[in-house]
Amino acid sequence: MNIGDHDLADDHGFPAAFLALSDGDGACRFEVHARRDVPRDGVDPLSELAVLAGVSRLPRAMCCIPVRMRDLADDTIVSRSVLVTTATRLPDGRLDLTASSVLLPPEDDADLPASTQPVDPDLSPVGSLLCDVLATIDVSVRVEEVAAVLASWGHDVSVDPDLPPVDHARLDRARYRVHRTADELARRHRPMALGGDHRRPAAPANLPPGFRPACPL
Amino acid sequence: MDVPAWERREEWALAEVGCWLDRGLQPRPILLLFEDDEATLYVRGALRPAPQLDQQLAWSELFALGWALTPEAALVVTPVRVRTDADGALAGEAEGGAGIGMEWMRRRHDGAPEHGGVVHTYGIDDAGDVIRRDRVELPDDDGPLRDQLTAVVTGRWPAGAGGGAVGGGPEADLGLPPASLAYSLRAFGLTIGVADGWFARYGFDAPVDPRHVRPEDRQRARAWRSHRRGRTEVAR
Repeated sequence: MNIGDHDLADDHGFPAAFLALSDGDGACRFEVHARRDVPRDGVDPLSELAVLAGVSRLPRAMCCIPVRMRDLADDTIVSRSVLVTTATRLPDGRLDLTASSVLLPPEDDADLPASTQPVDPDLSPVGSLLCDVLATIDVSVRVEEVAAVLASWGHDVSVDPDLPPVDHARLDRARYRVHRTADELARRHRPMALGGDHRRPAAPANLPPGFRPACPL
Repeated sequence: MDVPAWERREEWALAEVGCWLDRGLQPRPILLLFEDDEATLYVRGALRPAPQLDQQLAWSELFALGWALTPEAALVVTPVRVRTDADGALAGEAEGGAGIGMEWMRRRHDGAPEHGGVVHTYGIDDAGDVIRRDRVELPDDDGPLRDQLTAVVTGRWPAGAGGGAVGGGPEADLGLPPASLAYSLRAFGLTIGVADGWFARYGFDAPVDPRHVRPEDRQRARAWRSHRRGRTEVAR
């Protein structure tokens, strides 16, 4: 997928987190630019985005997280990069997880190509989160309701034009369920915690053919 | 279906490690258990930014499921650094600095278990491609993981293992069911896969006891248990 589509028009001149869901053919069906990185009711924006990935039942999710490297002394931003994590459900049920770090060029050299470096998928903060939502499908809410709820919380959602219209009578219930699911995901995976956090579980992905994850949770 | 057979273990391990090297990543240690010439369980070690602090613990985590299940055979694949100085065991023959070490052990009905290992050295050229260089067999009945593998395959620690501790190395039987053990290891960052036919035979379909899981996972453990209550109630 093309990182260049992701515009840099946030108020700090820096992209917010971005989630794209696509079907098996590679056609993108949902695109969400996350709201600002402040927790709302204790839930971070990445966990809220993940609910859409679980409900939409699409086999491929890509999450881009902005990474700023600051100078500790004077607090200036030294370099900016995007951590791209892609989780794909393979036809035999296994999950494939890749992560790479894309170093963005400095603003005055905007025509330099971005350089990509592979990263161990376990270092990605959303790796286990994406694997979890792709493996466990929540069927209690409809996908158009989740998109409407996320948009009402400040996310910038672009959806498939073929989606049915939202039944507004069901929206309160959907809001409650999406919040509860996102809250559970946030506590289990801690996607906003620091990189060395030992309480984040491993992602049961990238298993060789013929094996399936041992632990159902 | 595509589970590696015991005869193909070496080429399978090379291909598996090659996947990580081709992606530009450092491979991680892998434990593979075998029953009846077929692989049954796959454990990939955790990513540890500072392994020197808890190296002993990391090896115990990798072998924990092997000690609990006592399979017929086991294979360990680890990235190794090959010594090329004068008194190193692989000196002279191996030119590369990086290597893939494999060590295996298989239980036999009569006599001591069959034990062996190889080291494949490789290098990475300027284009980032992996060049395989050399294949060196470990001397017979010698290897850095011989004690741990003996404990996996036979269920007993060899005499004198574990630095003279009473009873050998670490406690082999933790008293946990395999599902709870797999859950705990996953929470420590290990990735565990079971071959399709062995999920129930090893007991991984039993529910994880909510007392063994993290508080944030307890709700899901309880829901999974009650959803399948007819089959999964454990007698106490």
